[in-house]
Amino acid sequence: MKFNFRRFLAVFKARNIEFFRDKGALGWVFVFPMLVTFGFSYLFNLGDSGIYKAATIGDSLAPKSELIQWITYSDIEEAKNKLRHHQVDLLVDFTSKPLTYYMNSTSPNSRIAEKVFLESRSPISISGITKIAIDGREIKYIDWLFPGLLTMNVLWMALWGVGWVVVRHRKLGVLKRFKASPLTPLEYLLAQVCSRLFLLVSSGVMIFIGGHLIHPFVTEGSYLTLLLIYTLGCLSLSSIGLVVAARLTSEEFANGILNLITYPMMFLSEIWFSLEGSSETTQLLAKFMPLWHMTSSFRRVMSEGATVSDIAPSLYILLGITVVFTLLGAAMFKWNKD
Amino acid sequence: MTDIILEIKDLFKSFKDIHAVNGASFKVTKGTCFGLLGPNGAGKSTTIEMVEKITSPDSGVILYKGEKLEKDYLNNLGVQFQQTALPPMLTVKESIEVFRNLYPNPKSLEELITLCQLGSFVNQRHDKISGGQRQRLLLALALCHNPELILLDEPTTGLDPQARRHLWDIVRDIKSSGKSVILTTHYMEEAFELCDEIAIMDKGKIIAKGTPKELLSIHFKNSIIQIPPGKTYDEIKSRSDLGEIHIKDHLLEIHTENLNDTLKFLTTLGLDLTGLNIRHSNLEDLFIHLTGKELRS
Repeated sequence: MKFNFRRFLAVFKARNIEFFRDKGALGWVFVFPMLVTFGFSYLFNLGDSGIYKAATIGDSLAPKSELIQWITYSDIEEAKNKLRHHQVDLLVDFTSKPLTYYMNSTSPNSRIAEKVFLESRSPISISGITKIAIDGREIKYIDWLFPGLLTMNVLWMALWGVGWVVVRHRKLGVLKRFKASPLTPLEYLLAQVCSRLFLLVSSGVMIFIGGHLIHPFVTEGSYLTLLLIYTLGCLSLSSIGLVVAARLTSEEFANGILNLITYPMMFLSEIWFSLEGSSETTQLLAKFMPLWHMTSSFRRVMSEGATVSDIAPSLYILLGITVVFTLLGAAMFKWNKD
Repeated sequence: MTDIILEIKDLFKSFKDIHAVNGASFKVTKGTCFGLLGPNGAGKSTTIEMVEKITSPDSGVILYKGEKLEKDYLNNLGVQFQQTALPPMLTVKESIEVFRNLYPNPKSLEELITLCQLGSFVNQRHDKISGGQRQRLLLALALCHNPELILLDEPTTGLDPQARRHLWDIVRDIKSSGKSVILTTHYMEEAFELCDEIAIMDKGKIIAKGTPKELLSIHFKNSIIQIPPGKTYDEIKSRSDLGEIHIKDHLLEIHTENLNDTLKFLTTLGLDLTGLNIRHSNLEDLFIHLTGKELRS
């Protein structure tokens, strides 16, 4: 039977009504990410610890100081980026001759860290030092965290909003009733995915605006690129939900499977903390997660101003996951237990 | 052009070791109501589900208007399940709209509301209405696209007498418009009222088939005399030559082929004839006669 847009639209509308009348789900989707953003914004603005972070290339000569915490980097460009975004207060390249240090002229903390560093060295050694000032806007932890909170919300909403809902419809007998009608599996499944996409995009935009009002985020890149990443991320995660829901009839079992997928994905996708410094295997594993591609692309666009071509590999991966899992889900789908 | 709208030939369906349907065959004529009767677990619902394409048969053939079931067959089929669920959180009106939009030429919303008397609760959520109202909604969904063949699986369960009779009127209207109904019910009175032809199923097989009157005349040649409780019970029960005698609903029933002689005998006992009732066998008697009295799961 041919794809019929009217049938698709009927189920799409029904699913939207179902969601918007479920006050609990509605509140969770909109309020939870805002509360987390607000909470973190508050916590991370409580005040400085009084210890300055300095990046170092070659740390053997780094002077000991109670006021400076040294973090070693192998890539100077990466370290400069951190300094540019105020993620470290100072960068010292001990491998260069003459010894060179970089400070961020727009950061008060960087000026203080510079003074602390210079005073920790003898007057003789100070004379042979080169200073390079760079500038750049501050990116706080909350700026880094926010894209993760947004994508984590998508993870839960897409997987449960599609996977769990389809299983519940099957268990209740809704799918059995639909099966006795001309509705096709593809029409039903696409309606579920598109309804979820509609809700996720609208809630995502509202959360983004709300989050920006609570804490004005730095967004260097294009909002359209962000929307593209967000949409592909939603579709790829929803399509994984389709495969989970293709045949299951038990909500409890579906919960278990969905948890098995979400928790590792959440921890490996740098939602709360960076995987810098973790093992190569862990970092490689992360690259298999659609959520990692979504989150890291989002961060790159927001903080570095990355363009579509910069993040193209991640976009292709998200698109590939969407196509493969949607087709797999449709092929495996059963309306009811035969 | 054939008058047979649906034909089922040698249908088999097993679930593991259970033969749910074991070689069922029947035909449904256009513009009639076909009743599928049987105790719980007889295989009625499984048979209906195969016609609805919910379940696939292990073997056998289902023909709609002489053809195998095509892809657009479901456009011509109206279904009311015994138990069903609808998309959650919707009102009655929204539920009807969803199903109307699944079909090419649906009836208007107003027509359905009037036909199934949904007006008083059309804006309520479907999970907040009574059992009887729900049955009427499910009937509206079955009829929303003006189907040629309507499958009603115990549609009057939970309905009050007025609502039941209203549904009977709808079924009669459907028949008079040239459309066909397959009905399963546990109410024998309902089957007798509505069905032009019935099939009685037991243990997956059709054990009797025909019009209600034909079946009654084949299986029962006797009349039933019902006698209220009295002192003469023991004396009557000792006369096995009168016919089959047993107690049902606190009444002594004599199934006799010779009504005059039996009545003469009863008067010789000095029996008070006040409260005595003479009736013919009905579908319920036939049902019990064919399927036995043991309880089914």
